[in-house]
Amino acid sequence: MSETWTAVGQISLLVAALAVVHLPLGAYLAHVYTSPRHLKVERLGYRLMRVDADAEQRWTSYLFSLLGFSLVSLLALYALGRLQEHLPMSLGVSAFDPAGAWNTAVSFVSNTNWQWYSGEAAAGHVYQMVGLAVQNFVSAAVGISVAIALVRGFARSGTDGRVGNFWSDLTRTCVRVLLPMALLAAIALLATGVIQSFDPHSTVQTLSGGTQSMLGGPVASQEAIKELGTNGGGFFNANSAHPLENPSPVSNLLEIFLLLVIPFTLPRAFGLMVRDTRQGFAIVSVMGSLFLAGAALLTWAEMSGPGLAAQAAGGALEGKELRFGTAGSALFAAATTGTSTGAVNSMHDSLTAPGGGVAVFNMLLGEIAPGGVGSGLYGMLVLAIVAVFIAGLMVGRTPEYLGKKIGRQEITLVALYILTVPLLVLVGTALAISLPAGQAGIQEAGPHGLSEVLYAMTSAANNNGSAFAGLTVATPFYNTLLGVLMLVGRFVPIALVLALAGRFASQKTVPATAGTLPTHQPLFAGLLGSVALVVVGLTFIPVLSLGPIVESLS
Amino acid sequence: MHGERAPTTPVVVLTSEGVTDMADLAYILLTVAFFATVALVARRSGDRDAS
Repeated sequence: MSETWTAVGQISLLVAALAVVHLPLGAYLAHVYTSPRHLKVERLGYRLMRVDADAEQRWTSYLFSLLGFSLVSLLALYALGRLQEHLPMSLGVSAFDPAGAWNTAVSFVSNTNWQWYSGEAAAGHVYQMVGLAVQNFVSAAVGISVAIALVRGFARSGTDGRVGNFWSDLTRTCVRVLLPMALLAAIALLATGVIQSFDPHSTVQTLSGGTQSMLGGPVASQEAIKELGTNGGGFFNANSAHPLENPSPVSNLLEIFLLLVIPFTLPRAFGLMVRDTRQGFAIVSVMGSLFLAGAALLTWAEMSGPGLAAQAAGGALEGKELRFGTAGSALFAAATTGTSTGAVNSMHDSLTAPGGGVAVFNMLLGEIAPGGVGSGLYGMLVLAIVAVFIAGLMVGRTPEYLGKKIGRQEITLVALYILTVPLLVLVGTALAISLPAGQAGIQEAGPHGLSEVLYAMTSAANNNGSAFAGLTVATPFYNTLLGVLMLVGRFVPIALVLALAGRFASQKTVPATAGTLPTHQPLFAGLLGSVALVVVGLTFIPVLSLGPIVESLS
Repeated sequence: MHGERAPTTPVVVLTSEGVTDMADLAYILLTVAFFATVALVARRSGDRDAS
């Protein structure tokens, strides 16, 4: 089969699989967050945490709970990193230095999973399982909880800013959504050949007659939540390019499915919770269109790679695993940057210039196509508010979305949300290319060097975590700068979204009239997609022009 | 020793372990300060919403 047909077949299979699970999983998610009943194991958790899971929290209390939980998680993970040489099954690794331990703690608590270190060489089994894998679950649950709080803001009317209970949302997401799904996914990954063991290093003989030291480990269980929670931190340094982490085209497609399934399903839960499934369909159609456009562009760029070598090989194969081919690598790259996953099955630094540009653009979109678990949905809903506001200005009406008026304070929160990440990306890039400590890590001159820095800052600020490579980041300067970007890029937007949720929950829902802009029709979906592209375009075209665009033209 | 005065200023020798301890403290303080700032700003904003 030609590579083109492989690409078409893979995307078709993926879309079909996502379509099959969209309705039932969306209904299940909506049930999880609207059911008044707690499970026994959840009640036990609440007792241990000494929280009242039935108490409705105002948005500020919800946020304080979230911040407190994340602060404790971050400090605990920092301590584990600094003390990991004393942990059991540490495999003889040393403790992380302070900058590295802080960067990793921020990275996993913020659902970024940026890794400055090599997993198999620098992290022991207990640190990976008790520290990193636990954060893979709870940081993903935090993102979903925030999205659900915003959805409740739209669904409720006159509640004095009460948006649910953080502890209940967090626990239910882990117990009823992520744990069972991760268990099923881990079994499926095991069936495709991903390893699961506690083996230490063992020496194997290679096909060429040499020897190689291979590390075993609990890979399948970590891989499942790595993809499902759009985390992305690999057990091995090569991440999903490693044959023990992603052995075949089948496991590759399964991993792509896993990282897309929750982000593409949450809009269905949103539609059910606001009692208008058409709204959810409008959101998922914009997410899907942007994702497919990105995947198609990236695949085309890699399959028509420039140069005689690429044309003779049938695509730009540098940095790609032959078992996945160009199509499997390009689809994975589009999926991992369209979500906030950051897992990689090929070296993104070796993507063609336009292909790399698409990957950066996917992240710069704010990862809304379909975005991270939870963060994709709330990012898209914030853009929907912008779209409604612009449409309202154009026709001279008070903008409303789902019966909630968009006033001065709401649009101020939205503007701050939209400005936060571009500010972080551009200031971070400027610091890295202008300060000597930043310049020391840049290995490539010219536009490609700028692309490497821009990619790293974009990945950190958007909580993606994938690396372009080619940039030496294992230094206190980059570990601190990228850590700050991850921290601010995660928790400031979350605070703004919860403030928005509280304001909407306080408002009385206004019934739709003849003058209300319909937000479930193709016209609005087109407007929403255009707003997403224009906002990113206006903000980032100058720096993209100096990096990937000029590189493509040269 | 006779005629030699005791130093009036304490001498601090910063060892590599001391630098590491300072870095640990700095990162912990940075983290706590960030979360506290977000919480304080949110609280003020929440108070305005409630009034």
